[in-house]
Amino acid sequence: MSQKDLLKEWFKELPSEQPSPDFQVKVMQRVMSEWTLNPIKYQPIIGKKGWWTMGLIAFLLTSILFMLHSSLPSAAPAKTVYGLDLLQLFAPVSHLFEKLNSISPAVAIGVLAIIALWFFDQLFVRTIRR
Amino acid sequence: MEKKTDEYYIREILKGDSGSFSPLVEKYSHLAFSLSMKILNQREDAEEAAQDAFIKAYNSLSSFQNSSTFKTWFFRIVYNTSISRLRTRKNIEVKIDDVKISDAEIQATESAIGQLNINERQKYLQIGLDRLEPDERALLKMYYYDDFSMDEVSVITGLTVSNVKVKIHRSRKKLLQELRFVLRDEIISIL
Repeated sequence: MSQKDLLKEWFKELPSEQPSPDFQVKVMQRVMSEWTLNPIKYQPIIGKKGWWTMGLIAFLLTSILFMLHSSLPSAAPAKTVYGLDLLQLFAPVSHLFEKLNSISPAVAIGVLAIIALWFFDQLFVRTIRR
Repeated sequence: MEKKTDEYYIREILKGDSGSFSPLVEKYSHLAFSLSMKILNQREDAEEAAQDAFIKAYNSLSSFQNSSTFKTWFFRIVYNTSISRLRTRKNIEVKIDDVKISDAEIQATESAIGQLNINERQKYLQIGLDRLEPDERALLKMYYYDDFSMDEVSVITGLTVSNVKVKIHRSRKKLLQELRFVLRDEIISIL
């Protein structure tokens, strides 16, 4: 047997040094008081900066598409109810829907994905806090 | 019961379940105390250092990366905590003692120790260890008792692997020299 092995063998014979019986309890008490003072906080995967960047990108993309796409001319005759031109009244709303309709599906899916991510992130934060 | 890995408990703690730290305390308290005891050689001090090391580990769990095992990472904390506690207790100077023991003397000492009964061997080995410097005791304990490899000891202590090798070799020789000194009058002389 080599010299190293002899020493190893003798070290193994040494009685193991045990901490006091309440050692673990003391450690856990300190851990719990640490936790009360400074609980480990949930950190969202996407930070505030991330959300702002994504929002800005989504806004820019949508704006560019809005600007590029020409609005469709309305060919329908004017309809009036009690003197109010309904077509003119709802023109901005119908305009918006027409333009939303013209957004590329890829962009729409992207925007929806961001909204969904934000929703689940918020949901998770609220569940953890409770 | 299914045994879970350290990584599992770490994940649970990071999710907010601080109770998951308890199995890690249970698993490593004996080893942490034992290493701390080798460095500080005082029971109360060693317990406090081991406790401090656990709290430090708990608070820095988010910075633990799986580049090393939790055991090695945690032992580094225990080692550093104990060494800094020792520094506050007294000014440590790195002694460069000359180890003057020949190979023949090493063999004679080992042979003498080998002939002792287990209780005597434990007693003399403990006396020999107490005569070493705290860092030397810790290195020998990690290598011979806890079965850490040279690489792991290097990670724990922050020394280079070659430095660890040299230090362990020197500490081992010094231990045998101390044992020879302790045993000289009692045993070696009658052999």
